[in-house]
Amino acid sequence: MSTAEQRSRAGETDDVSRLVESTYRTESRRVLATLVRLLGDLELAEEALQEAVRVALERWPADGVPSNPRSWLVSTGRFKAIDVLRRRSRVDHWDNERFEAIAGASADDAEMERALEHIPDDQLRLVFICCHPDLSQDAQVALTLREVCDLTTEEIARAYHVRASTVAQRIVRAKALLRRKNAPVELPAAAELPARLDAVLRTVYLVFNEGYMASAGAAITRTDLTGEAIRLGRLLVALLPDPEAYGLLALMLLQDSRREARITAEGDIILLEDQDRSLWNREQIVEGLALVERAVATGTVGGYTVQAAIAAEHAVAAEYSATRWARIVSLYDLLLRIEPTPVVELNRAVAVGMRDSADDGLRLVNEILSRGDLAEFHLLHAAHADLCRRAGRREEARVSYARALELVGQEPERRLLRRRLRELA
Amino acid sequence: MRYLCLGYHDVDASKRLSSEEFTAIVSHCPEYDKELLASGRVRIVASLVEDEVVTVRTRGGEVTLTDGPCVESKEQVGSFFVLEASDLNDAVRIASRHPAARLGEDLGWAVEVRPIGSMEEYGGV
Repeated sequence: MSTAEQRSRAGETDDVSRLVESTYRTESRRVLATLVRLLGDLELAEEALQEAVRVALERWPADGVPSNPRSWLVSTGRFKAIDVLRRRSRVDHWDNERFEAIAGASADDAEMERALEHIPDDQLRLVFICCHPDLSQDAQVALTLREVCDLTTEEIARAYHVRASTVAQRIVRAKALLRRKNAPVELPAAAELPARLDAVLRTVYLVFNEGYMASAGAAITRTDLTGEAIRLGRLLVALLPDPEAYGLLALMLLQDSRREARITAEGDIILLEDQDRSLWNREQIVEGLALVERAVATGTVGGYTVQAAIAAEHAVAAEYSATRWARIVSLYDLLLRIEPTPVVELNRAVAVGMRDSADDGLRLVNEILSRGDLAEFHLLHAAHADLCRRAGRREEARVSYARALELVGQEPERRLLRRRLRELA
Repeated sequence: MRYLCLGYHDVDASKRLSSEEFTAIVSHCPEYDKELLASGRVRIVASLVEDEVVTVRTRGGEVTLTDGPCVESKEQVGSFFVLEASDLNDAVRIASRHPAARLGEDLGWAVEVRPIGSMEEYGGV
């Protein structure tokens, strides 16, 4: 064989392994979702997928890439799972039962075709399994990022500044609980999905928030997490056209549109009033505004949609002084009816402080403070300090900035509070 | 990612077993070891001879030998394997199927999973 021929063979092998890799990237979550349904077990489905990919890497270079790689991976994965269970049924009673159930079900070509028709449902169900109501919020987030977004345990740990073993433990426990609950088998019926959507939306928004406003650490944003959350939001909108799914995606897009404008090159925070609005991402804003409209047009308005409508008010204001604070206050009134929480009350107080006067805002913030709500929340003290500063109460402002500084966990916010304190000195 | 999996066991508990009992429980391992190797995700799997462990140190420029493992403990490493996994949970899943993690509850069997930072392999001359 000539050197040129050898090189071309090597090139072909490279091409095939690249193709397997790109197929894996585009198809693996869909294939996993379908295998979860066919096999009724998350872990077995993962193993089946891994095995199928390994066989693909072995066979595709020689046999060529199949015309429908997705269907090939699902059917190979299923056979591999039967192999695995056949081996294990000699050891475990549990596996023996499962083996009978899975191997007993016929899987001719027609059935495979039907199985693949359900992929969007399968993906949606996988999200719902990962956000099972009996799982802790931490576990829901970790499982969703790993199983739906294909992040590794180590990546999730880095994103949340925790040890990989902590995340691994969460995932192992979550899977054990799901298996005990038989969650992958007893998937929620279509009629139940909207009721369980809350947990899913909350998980997606938690992921987004951790990316957008990291709760701890050196950097303010972690775009990997915001990107994953937006991707999940799009998936939800595509799979389950619920008004709040539109609202959440709109909210995330409108907030993320300000990403480039809200941090300096040194990683310092730039407040909304000081941001260069030409840096806002117009594409995200246009998409976000359209989604808010679609959500509102359904006639059922939920918390995410109202928050998105508030973000939309900022997005359409040509400059800070043009912000329609009266509309924002009314939207917070509405939000307070949907979610009567002290955090919403605080945000409303700040908006009132802008619509009317700093003293009016201060009165409302003092009410929250006097009740003792959010006493440990640094942003309450920071908001109090800002309003005092604007109302000319320098000493009170200093005390509150100092209190906020004690409670803050994130470095850029700490620097902002220090800057405020220096300005008052 | 590669992970080093160390199979631990309680030395005293193992000694309390008759040699037949010990052979019977250990006999579960080769089958899964074979399965691991066949899966293409395990590069190496080994069992260790434990009675002849020595620890080598340099003290005051002198090489000294001590009998027994570096860390004295009732749990000792009896086997190891190196596996290729997509992440820590994938490694845990594979390790958890090994008899060393699945059996031997009374014998202190456990598998320690350690991420490998760097690994060089002899590629031949």
